[in-house]
Amino acid sequence: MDGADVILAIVVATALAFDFTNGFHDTANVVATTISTRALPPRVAVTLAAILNFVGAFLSLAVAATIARDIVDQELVTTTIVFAGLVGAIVWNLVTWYFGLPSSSSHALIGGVVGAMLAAHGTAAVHFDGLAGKVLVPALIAPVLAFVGAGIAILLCYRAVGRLAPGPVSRGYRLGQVLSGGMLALAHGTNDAQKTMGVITLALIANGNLGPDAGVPTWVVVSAATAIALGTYLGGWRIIKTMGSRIIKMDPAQGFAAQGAGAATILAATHFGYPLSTTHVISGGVMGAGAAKRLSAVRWGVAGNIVVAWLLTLPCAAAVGAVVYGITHLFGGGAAGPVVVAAAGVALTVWVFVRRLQHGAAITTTAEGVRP
Amino acid sequence: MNAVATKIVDVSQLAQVIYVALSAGVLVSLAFSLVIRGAVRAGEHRRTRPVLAGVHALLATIGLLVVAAAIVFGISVMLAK
Repeated sequence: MDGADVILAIVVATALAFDFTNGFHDTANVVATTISTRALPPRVAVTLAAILNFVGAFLSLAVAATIARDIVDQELVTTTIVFAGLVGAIVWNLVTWYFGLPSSSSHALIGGVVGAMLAAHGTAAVHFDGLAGKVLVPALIAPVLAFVGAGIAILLCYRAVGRLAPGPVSRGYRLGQVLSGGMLALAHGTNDAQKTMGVITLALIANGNLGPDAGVPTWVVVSAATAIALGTYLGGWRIIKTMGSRIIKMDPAQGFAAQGAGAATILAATHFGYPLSTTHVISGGVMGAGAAKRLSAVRWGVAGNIVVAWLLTLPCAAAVGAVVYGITHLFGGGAAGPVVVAAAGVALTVWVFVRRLQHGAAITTTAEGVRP
Repeated sequence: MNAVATKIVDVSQLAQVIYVALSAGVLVSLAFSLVIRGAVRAGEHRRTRPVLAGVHALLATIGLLVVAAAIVFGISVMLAK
């Protein structure tokens, strides 16, 4: 095994670690509304989401192709650049997880890779038209789409069941949430697991293991699906609390409308290969379902914090990606840089987890019905 | 300027995403609400007004079929890509 293969092995391990944090971080998107309205017990909801995330990862490869082809110049990508981009994404994911902010893992990944690419080769190496057309514009439209869709849907739901006894209606929508939550988990698997597949494929192409037009190898699909499913199962209870109870106090009909609009948006976008942020979409859906009932029902301060985190994700992940590339570059072109950064990253991650667990809040949230 | 924007963003593809996502999200929610409405009303009228109960049961069944069809269509679209 030469230096290039060592870097590739580190990149694959880092990509799968990112995929794990993606599942861990984005569990909230999939299950928060289901749990907060008591449609399913937390463990059952998380297990179901993990299984459907795993299945969803096998259903489509359009997003993986976008990540591998349309964002940066494939011919200039090196495994060190991919590594730096992944570290940028993981660092941003951990920072936002620590503070309980539902930011976008997808944009963190894309930002990290773009930042490392800019540091390595300058602006010519980034496909800004692909970045704008496939990432930025859909990123702006998707949450608004989910907001509007969930808003219209909840008004129609209330209109349809308005004069019925609340008990059977709530039970009905809780049952519906099992379906809409399942579709959302499936959609999450199809869109988010593919981003890691795209990045690993990019690294394999950069290392010469695959040709420029090669498809995603099966072992990449299986390992990415497994990593995101494991991350989903272990869950991120801090963000579940924010999504499930801090933005609005949800009833089952609102949860159903938010999940349904979110799943429809993600599935439609995945079909055309847009690497959407599931976080943005479901946050938009939750806010739309709340605002349509009563504008003051949405805690706009919390929503504002989420929007700030959204806006910061791409540039911050890009900055970390660029800095990490610079650090690895200090050690020369061999495997020493990635090995040192990876070791430091593992140490930092362990420290953050231990600190988080010592504080206890990550898995003992007191939101209504959100105790694992 | 418009030409550049059109070149960067595939407007027709994006319009399809907006159209499909909005209509699917709203229609499925409405159909499922009709399932609930039909089921609850059918239960309420089962003994006193069986014909009306039958109509509501039919409404619930149609709503359920629409929801099931939407789910199957969504998955088949994903598999076709």
